[in-house]
Amino acid sequence: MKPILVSISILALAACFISSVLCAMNDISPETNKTVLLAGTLVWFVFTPLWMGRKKRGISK
Amino acid sequence: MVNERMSDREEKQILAPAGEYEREPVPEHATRGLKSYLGMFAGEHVAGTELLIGPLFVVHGVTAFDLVFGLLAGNLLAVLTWTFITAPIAVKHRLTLYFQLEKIGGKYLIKVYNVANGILWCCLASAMIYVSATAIAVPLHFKMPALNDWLPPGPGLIITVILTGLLFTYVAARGYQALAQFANIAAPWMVVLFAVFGISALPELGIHSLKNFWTVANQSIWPGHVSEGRIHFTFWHVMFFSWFGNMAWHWGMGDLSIFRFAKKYTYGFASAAGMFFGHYMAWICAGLLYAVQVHRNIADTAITPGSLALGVAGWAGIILVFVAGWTTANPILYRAGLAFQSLHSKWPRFKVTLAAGVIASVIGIFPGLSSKFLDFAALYGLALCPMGAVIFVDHYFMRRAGMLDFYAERANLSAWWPPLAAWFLALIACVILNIGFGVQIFFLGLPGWIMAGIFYAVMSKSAQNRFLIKRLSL
Repeated sequence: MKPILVSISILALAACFISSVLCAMNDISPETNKTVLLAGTLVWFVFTPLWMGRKKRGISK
Repeated sequence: MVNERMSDREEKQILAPAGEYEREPVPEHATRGLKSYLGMFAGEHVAGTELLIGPLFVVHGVTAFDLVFGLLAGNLLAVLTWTFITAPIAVKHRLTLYFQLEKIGGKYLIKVYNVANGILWCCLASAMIYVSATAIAVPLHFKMPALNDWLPPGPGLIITVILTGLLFTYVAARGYQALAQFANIAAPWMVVLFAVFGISALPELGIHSLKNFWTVANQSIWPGHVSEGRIHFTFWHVMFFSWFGNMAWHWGMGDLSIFRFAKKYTYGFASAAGMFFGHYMAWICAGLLYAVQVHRNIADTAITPGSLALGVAGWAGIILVFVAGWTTANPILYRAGLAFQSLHSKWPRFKVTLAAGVIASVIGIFPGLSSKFLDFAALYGLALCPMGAVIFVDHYFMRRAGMLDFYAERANLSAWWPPLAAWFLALIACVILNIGFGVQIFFLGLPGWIMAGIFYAVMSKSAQNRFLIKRLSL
């Protein structure tokens, strides 16, 4: 499960980055770019807490 | 009672992230790998205040060459300072800054140091509260301050800053861990969003390829025009600011507490992740956002991070500004509370942190501090760096000069005056250099550090007990 969650988080950040590059190249409008950035942000904060910083039980320091 | 117990535990966690070793060297098995340092530096140095610093370089009239190469040189020097000045001492003794200072100057030196730190942290937190408050005030169309305003422009911003400050303070006073976890989650997203800010700003500035970037950068982004009431920044200003922007942590030895967990001193090179993501890329990208704002309306020279981010990145930008301010204000408010609490151990940390947060919130109402943030950052480093010189001299020169290191501990003293006197004399000398000789605050860090080291060595030579030196040297 964790690899899927990690992949979704990475894809969210990648979408933000690629969207801004496409905006810079005038391939998408600034408004579309802003929408993708917001969507990527929401996906990141929904899925990343599900895998980042979670420790397995029973592992000593 | 339950809260107090939780607070004690959380306090130990922040002071000694691996669990313990506040008053003993970190053992070999508790050391950490390079990866954790790369992540920590990258996350810690991409903060809300980067959105103030980048635009402030523009209003100080830097040119594109001065900025790009000044930041390159200054950040490189900062990395080298962490690696060759701070990390070797940290790895040798593996002690916190506080415990090492206590061994040198006694527990009363720590109290004075903590009060100075606490006051400066309140001011730093106030800038972060202000940054986050602009993320709320801008969408609500509250009146925002002009570039050189010292007073708030209206009740909307005042109420927003106070409510934002109280929210941050309450969370910080309740504990550190919850938001620290959130900060870790947000860190990679913040790094990417800062890059996205810069890239998204390019088309509006007329940059569609790397070929015309340099031309537009010189003509429209960093044209070298100084705003009214500002000093002109040259290559040297940029270089020294980016070198000394974190002076309290490297020359001032604040990061002894971090690097004591490093396996090797060469982990100091990990600071490059923070410097070149946060203090290079993020500052340049924040400057691009400001250029877009001025490009849209040449009269709009105000530096309001919320407005800058909303214009280019929409609501994601607003979220970034709020989160970046909060995640960095939270540990600072928490540490300010601990610093003040150290004056009197019976004071409850919850109430002390609340008091520190209220002070920070009130300071945050005044936009003057944020618009003069470069000066404040330089002052912050300058005020604390002399203690780093004391530690450096104590580590490298005391035994070679026939004196005792860790003198307060060896002589069993609660207060040993040479470190404190060296600190204050160095600061007085810096004030004289500034007022009497016109040396700007951005260039005072290194002279202040060197003077503190010399004062400490000379005063120790005359003050250390010769009988004690002989007895302990045998």
